Amino acid sequence: METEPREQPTGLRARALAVASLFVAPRSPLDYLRASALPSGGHRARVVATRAECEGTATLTLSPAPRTWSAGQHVDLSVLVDGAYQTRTFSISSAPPAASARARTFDVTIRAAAHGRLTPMLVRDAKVGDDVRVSPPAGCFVLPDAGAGMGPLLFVTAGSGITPVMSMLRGSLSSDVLHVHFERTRDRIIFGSELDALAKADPSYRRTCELTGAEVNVDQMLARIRALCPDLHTRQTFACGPAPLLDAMRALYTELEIEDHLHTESFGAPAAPPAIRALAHDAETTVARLSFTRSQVNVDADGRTSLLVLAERAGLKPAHGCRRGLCRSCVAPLRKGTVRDLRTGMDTVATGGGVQMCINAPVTDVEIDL
Amino acid sequence: MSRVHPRQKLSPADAEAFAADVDALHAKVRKTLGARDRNYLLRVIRVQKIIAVAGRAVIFASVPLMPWFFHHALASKAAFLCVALAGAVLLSLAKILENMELGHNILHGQWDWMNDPEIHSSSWEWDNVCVAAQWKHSHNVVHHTWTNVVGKDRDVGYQVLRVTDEQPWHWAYLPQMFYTIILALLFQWGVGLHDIDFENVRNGKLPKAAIDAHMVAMKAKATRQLLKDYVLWPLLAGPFFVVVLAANLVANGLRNIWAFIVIFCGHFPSGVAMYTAEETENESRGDFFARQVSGSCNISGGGLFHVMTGNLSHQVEHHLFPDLPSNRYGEIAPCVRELTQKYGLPYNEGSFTRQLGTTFWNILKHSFPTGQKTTSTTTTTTT
Repeated sequence: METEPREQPTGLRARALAVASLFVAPRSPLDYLRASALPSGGHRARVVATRAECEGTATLTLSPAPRTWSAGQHVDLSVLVDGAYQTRTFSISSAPPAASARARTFDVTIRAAAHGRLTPMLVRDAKVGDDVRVSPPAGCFVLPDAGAGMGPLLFVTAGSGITPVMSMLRGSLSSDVLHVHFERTRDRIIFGSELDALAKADPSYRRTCELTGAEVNVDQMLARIRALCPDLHTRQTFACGPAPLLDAMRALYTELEIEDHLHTESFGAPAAPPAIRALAHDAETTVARLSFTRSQVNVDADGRTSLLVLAERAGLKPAHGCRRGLCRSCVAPLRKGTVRDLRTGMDTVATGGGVQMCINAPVTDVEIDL
Repeated sequence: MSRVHPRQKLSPADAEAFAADVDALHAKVRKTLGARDRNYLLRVIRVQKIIAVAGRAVIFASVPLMPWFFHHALASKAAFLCVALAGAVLLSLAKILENMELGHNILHGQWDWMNDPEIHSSSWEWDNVCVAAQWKHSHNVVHHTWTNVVGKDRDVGYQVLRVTDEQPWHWAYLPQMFYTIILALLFQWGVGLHDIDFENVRNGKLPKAAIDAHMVAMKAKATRQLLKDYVLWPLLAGPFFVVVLAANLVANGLRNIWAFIVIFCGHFPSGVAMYTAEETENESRGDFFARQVSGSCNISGGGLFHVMTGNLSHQVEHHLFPDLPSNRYGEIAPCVRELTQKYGLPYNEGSFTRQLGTTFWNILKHSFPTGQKTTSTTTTTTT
């Protein structure tokens, strides 16, 4: 789902910019106006309001908003941490603008991850005026066809999985909705009072909140869903929560032969701390699995051989130059996992950026977009 | 008598230890990069834009001072020439900052650690007829890998000059002081064509099509550059077209000369080492770093001077750490000097006049058939 940046220049403005760019090439006139569109297609935004939700959770209101988005979609937010941008993905929790209207702002609701580095900082320190960068909205966890004709729905959410569904609930839903929300304890429920008010005001929205306690049992959760929703097969289901819950639901829906009724969204575990498996110096030990996703080639990595050499051994011919970490000709996007700089021992965790293949070796299972 | 080429060969143990020390210094700096460095770069970008706008404005401000067309108290030949020249110099300073402290260093990937899509080696383009992608190959790959290896590093003489005895002499080198001046004046074009391996095209190892592909991309870039400085900005001055055109020509020319000087002073003053391809076969990492040190020359000077050279006055530090932000070179220079002393390597640093003077002397001397056959004692390039 591609959406254009904030202001797709049209008409007179576009022509003025095109002419101005001839005078300031190779810079963009926008660079001189402090308004540049990002080469990645996203845009710059600013925090215009912050709101504490429950403990450890905050909503940031950002402006300007993407031109449009569908309820349930997410954006990548990049924020400056000590001079470098760090990027994480968040669901948009505010409702998209009505057709033909423009939204001035949009919300993301962030829960501090227990061992996270970035989310606790955002929840604690984000303040009005902070600059962030926003990717175009993406994701296919969206309602089938907004408007009439949408049958009855079941929303299953757990913890911060409420955020994309909140965007749907805040929009104009005309269907019969059953919403089952799981949370460990009552004080951790995000948007609790707003959802209560919504349930009171709208008789077609029924809501139940299930407290699981600290020990989460997926089978019990599944049993609760079945008990609360006897007409499972009549409802399109939108589920967002931890992967084990979604896996179990997928198994159930497959068993009931209604897997096409299930739509899921998972935030994925935050990048695990690099699992430093035995970096044996003597044996040819396999420590990680390396996948070149575009070439569909998988190889075993020993933790000491560079990505470039592994790629070449597998018969690929990636672009490269100096083979010493100087020229950056061999930079390729790291999609998943952690690699280690063989010179310095410094680890790089996948955040969508590129890594130099000639001097990095996988230390966890790694995916390279090559 | 010192050797013709003060090449330093480290013992295998020393080479390994030297590489470890260089890596450790790299890691130490890399770990401390942060907001301070980003703020430095953003400040340079801001100042560069202000100087660029000011330069263009001052050039236009010179027009109403022309005594031939305007008859008021301020109009005079001297006032006009001073203001027009001041504008040209300001614009040239902006272009120097843009090409050297920003373009050269950003295209090295020195600022990629910021994960900033707007300031990234993969997306940056510079105010220069040279296409960034072509430069990243000719410079980052060829020059920084093969530094001072005669026959491999095309920066050695820029494919037109003879700067070392290792290059065979030919009568065509006799007027090379003249070529030097032409190259300096048109340096951005030299840089733009630099990724073409003329030697191997001439001897048939590379197809002529390689040149065509290069030229297509360069033509598109150069057209925009020429259009901007020599058509569009001058047109804004209407009938005084030629004033703006001339000032822009001076600005680009001054930038060319300065860039040429800084780059030639980085590798060709006396005392620098040149290498043969055989010598660098199976080169260890330590020997590679030793070659970078022995093959590079620093220019001493103040803070502003270093910024205006794009910190290439710290050429030694740059060749050891081409991917570290340039604002750090001056800070780590004492550590690098200490390392070179520890391993008995040269650390070639001199005043601007010394480095420039010996570079020109080097070029002049090599116009003539020096160092033919007998290599060791008849000529010395070391001081």
